[in-house]
Amino acid sequence: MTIDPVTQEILDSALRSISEEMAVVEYRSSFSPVIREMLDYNCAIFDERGRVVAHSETIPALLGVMQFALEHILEHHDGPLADGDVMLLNHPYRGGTHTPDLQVFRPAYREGELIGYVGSIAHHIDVGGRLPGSESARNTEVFQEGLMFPGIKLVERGVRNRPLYELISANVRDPHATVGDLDAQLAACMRGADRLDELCARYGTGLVKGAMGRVIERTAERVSAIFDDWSDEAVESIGHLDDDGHRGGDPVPIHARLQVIDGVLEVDLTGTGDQVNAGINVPVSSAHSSVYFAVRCFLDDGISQNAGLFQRIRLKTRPGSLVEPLFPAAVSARHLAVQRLADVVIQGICKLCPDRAVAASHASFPNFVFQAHDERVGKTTVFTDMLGGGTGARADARGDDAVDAYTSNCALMPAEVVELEYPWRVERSELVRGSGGTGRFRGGQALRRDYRLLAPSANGMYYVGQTDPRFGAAGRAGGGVGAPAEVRLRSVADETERRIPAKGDIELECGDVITFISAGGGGYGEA
Amino acid sequence: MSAGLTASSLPKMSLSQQENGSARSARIGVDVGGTFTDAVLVGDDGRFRIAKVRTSAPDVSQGFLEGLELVAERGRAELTSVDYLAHGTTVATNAIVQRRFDRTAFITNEGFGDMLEIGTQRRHRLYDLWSPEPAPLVPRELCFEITGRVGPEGDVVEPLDEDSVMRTAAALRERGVESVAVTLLFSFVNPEHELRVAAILAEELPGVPVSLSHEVAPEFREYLRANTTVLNASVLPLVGGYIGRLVDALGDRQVPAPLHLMQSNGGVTTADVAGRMPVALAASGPAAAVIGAARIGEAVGQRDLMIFDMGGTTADVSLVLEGQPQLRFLGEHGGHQVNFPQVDLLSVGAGGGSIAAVDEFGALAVGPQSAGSDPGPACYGTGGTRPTVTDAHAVLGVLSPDRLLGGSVALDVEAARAVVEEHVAGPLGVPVEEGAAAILRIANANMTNALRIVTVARGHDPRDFALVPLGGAGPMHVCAIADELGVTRVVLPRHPGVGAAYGLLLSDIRHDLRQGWVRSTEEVDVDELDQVIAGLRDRAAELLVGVGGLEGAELIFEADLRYTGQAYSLTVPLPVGEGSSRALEAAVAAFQELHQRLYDYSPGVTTTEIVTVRLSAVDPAGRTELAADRPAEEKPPEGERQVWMEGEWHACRVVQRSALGEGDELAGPAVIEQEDATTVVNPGWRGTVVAGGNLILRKEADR
Repeated sequence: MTIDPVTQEILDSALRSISEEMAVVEYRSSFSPVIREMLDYNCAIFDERGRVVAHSETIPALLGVMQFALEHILEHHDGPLADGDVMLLNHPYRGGTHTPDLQVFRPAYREGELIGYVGSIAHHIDVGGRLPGSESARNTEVFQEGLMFPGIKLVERGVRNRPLYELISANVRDPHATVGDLDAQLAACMRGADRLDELCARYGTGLVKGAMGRVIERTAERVSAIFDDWSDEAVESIGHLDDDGHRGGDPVPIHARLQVIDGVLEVDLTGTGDQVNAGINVPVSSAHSSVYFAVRCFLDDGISQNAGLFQRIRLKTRPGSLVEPLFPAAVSARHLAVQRLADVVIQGICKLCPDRAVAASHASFPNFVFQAHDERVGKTTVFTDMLGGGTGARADARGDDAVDAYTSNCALMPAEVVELEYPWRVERSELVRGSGGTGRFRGGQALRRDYRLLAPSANGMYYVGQTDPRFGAAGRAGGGVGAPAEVRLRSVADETERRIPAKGDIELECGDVITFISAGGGGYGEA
Repeated sequence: MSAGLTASSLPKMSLSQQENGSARSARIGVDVGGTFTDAVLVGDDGRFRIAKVRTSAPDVSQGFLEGLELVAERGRAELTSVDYLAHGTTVATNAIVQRRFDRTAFITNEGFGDMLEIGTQRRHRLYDLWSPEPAPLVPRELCFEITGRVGPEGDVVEPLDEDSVMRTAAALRERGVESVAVTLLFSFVNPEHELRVAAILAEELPGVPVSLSHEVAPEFREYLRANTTVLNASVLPLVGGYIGRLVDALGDRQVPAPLHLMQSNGGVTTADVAGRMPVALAASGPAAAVIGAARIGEAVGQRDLMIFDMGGTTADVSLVLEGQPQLRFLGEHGGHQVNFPQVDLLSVGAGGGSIAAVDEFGALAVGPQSAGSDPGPACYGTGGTRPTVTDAHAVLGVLSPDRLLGGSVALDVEAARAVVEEHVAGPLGVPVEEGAAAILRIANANMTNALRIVTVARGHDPRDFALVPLGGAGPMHVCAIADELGVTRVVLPRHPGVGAAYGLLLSDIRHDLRQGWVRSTEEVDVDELDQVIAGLRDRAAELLVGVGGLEGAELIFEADLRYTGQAYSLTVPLPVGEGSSRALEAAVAAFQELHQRLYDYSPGVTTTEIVTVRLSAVDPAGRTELAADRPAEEKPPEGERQVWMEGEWHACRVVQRSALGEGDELAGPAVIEQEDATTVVNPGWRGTVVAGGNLILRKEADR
């Protein structure tokens, strides 16, 4: 079917508008602060083959991951999904990312004809498992990381699968938050399906489906045209994780070889180190999102994020490596490696288009989940926060201070929210002077936050990357390396402040102060 | 019904009568926009006059006075007989966007001095590694920490160290600070420390204004509150100075009416209050037009409205529900989040000056780049070389070739055809008319998507609304957009091109106050809630001093509620008339119902929390009766020209708006011309002139 270019443009913007509308619905009705304050979720529309057509712009870490889950569902479901069915998936080895990211999908029908699918992915505060928040760098197998849904019916023809809800509620630490956020995801999908139906009623189902295909083709054409302007040589880039994430051990290399071949960017990660016996392995879907993010930074603003972009980027990974781990390796704290992978690919692309080269941003991503009993309200609370750091300096400007860099874009928890809702006090929240790499333009500065426990005790996990000074954010054109990250503990028992391991499970007592310090960004040019 | 004016409706009043006599008193609204300053006068005979002058730069008060004098002259009113004067100004908005801040300091708790630099730690542009984030509103060397801490229940965790405040005061004096913002943690629960800091500063730095966060934005989330407070402090000397100069100039001219200023919430306030709380003016620009449209809608029996106000660069879309413009509490100005009540608008890059371009892949886009007023559209002959939305209208015959802005600019249709041909029609391989029509379709789609988003985000269906176009260009698009949305009713105000200036005269004096107060609704201490309510009432009384006080005002209490564990809340009525306890029950029920309506579900959690108590104090004292409309007796001649609509040229009637009187009808296709706007009535649409000269358009099938 041919569509005139103006109608195509109008349908394209309508489809993007629907995905944003879904995101608005989900945002406004969600429960946990992970979605509300951190925006760790995404909504998307897919064509009838399961290819991404339009995608909300909330968090890059979830860019282009949902297609893997939907593909798995469509391949394994017995027959087509019925109108009103909603599927749930989070299994890291069946198209999912890490277990807390619950994905739901719903087919959209118009008068019995399948238009496509709508879906939502959201990071839930907890899905059960060994520790609150379900994540830990020190996990050794995915079974410690909570419930796994392999692509299962959450709703069948509009009727909720009650036993499944009961199972979920019985296995997570904060069932209200989990069920509430799932409800918000359902509301977003319902809105998306309704709007697609309306669009087809107005323009005709055939025309809308034709426009979906053309949206993808157009993006692919645009992406190829940009790649063709890049150098066609093969370049290499390497970065390291500090250690294996569990018992220290050797640094883990992340290696990328990049080359544009016939309008397709090939990203060969087979030189990356072996998978580790810890929770920092990267499920293959997340490896893709990280690379998609890095590439998209170098494309024009006008490039939509859909399957057309994704099909022009070809990843090569090696089974058994950090970025294609074998079941049941643990993956929950994948984000450290995801950030580092984005960094490695960005530094590689800088070699393909040197006039846009920038210094490296921090990839330290301090993150924790602590559980404590709040005596003010008589209930157990699960508290999480994430710290930004310094971004890389540019040829004409310094890096930004305290920014959640690369594939993440989470807000810092306001101290007043922390203190109102959790038995914790933020004692300081400040920039680390001098932590940006030196240079004509300095790198962005790191962030330090001190949290004092007010409850009798707390337990949980934390992790911070980039604590090894050798692997700080690289400078460019003679600029200096950003300062490394660290974790400190001022124990009430002995009143001493000391540095503690960068990743771990921990128990704290009332009055303890735990301090997280992120890494600085790289500098640009000779100082 | 004939397609033309009915004979019985011919205007009966003489033109000379209109020009005779001078009004005994007059009410005047002056709106200063980016390009034009619009003034509207309503005389005591209900007569309406408009004047448009160029906005003066850099001192916009000159243009204000020029517009004021011109409209008074046109209305034959003496400035000494002006008995009401309201002003909409972008002086605060522009100061924020251009960061023209006076030397401002920020004071906060120990350990939080970097709060403004850290911000939310979120990036504005996710995929841009090259553009720096906006700089904080106050540089770090002017951020200071004091010792002392209040906890979440208002408990003093650490007493205020007054020496640390004294040291800070000395440092501020040394640095010649002109304005100070103070944000201490949990000051909205217990303001003791902030008040003490203010008292010390008042002694140590006499004459330097101090903005306190618990007064400017008393809600939780310290960075948002701090940023709002800092923004207030940063523009306070400049805005205060501007208002002071205006008041003096009006005094020199012996204007008896006190000056009122439009705020972001769509209400006006006194010069005195605006000078103390200038952040309230930050988004006032488009607010007055929305209020005006709401009043006009009310007068013609349409209470649910979708409004789009099309300027040169953007279109602002907004909703009116049951006669009420909708507020939101979070806004963004110059890249900085601000927590202050403002009329809820969504801006899209679809203005008259929005530039159309076809890229190398054959895709046509319109905006967000705009030719603005300099160089302007190609058809203005002022140097524009790129096709704009206005050029598309020129090509399609919508705009009169010899008359624009009262004849002040002649239209160069050939120039418009040339640029549309070169940049759009040629690349698309279509005739120039189709290229121009495509530009309009894309611009309309941008506005349609925005209107849909604002409607559905509040849980409504666009088809249940009447559409109101504002701005000189809005009425050219209204039928097409209505068709896209499935809307069958359009309200076309008598003077859509001066909607903001007229809105100034239709606005109430209004203050939106709030008090952050986080409690489980099941555990609310009713006495404590009574105190919160009384506190809000007292603050309203202070703000209404000199304009009628609490007695003349309507007090509307509301509360923000959420399900326990939710991070954001919904605002619902808190009917305090029957006591706090009943009010709270009603609020909880209203919240549950609203949540269900907005999100199509109620969660498993059943417990609720109250987060914020709100009070809107509304005094309609300043509101002007809607102006009467008297059509000219000598009916301006009707013309005809070829206009391209829905894919073909139509021999289209061209009617002067001043020829239309109440009861007149007309059917599309037609073009209606007036000094401040041009209206396109598409085939299939039919209009009836109603009270005040306003026109109701209906889709034929709907009749």
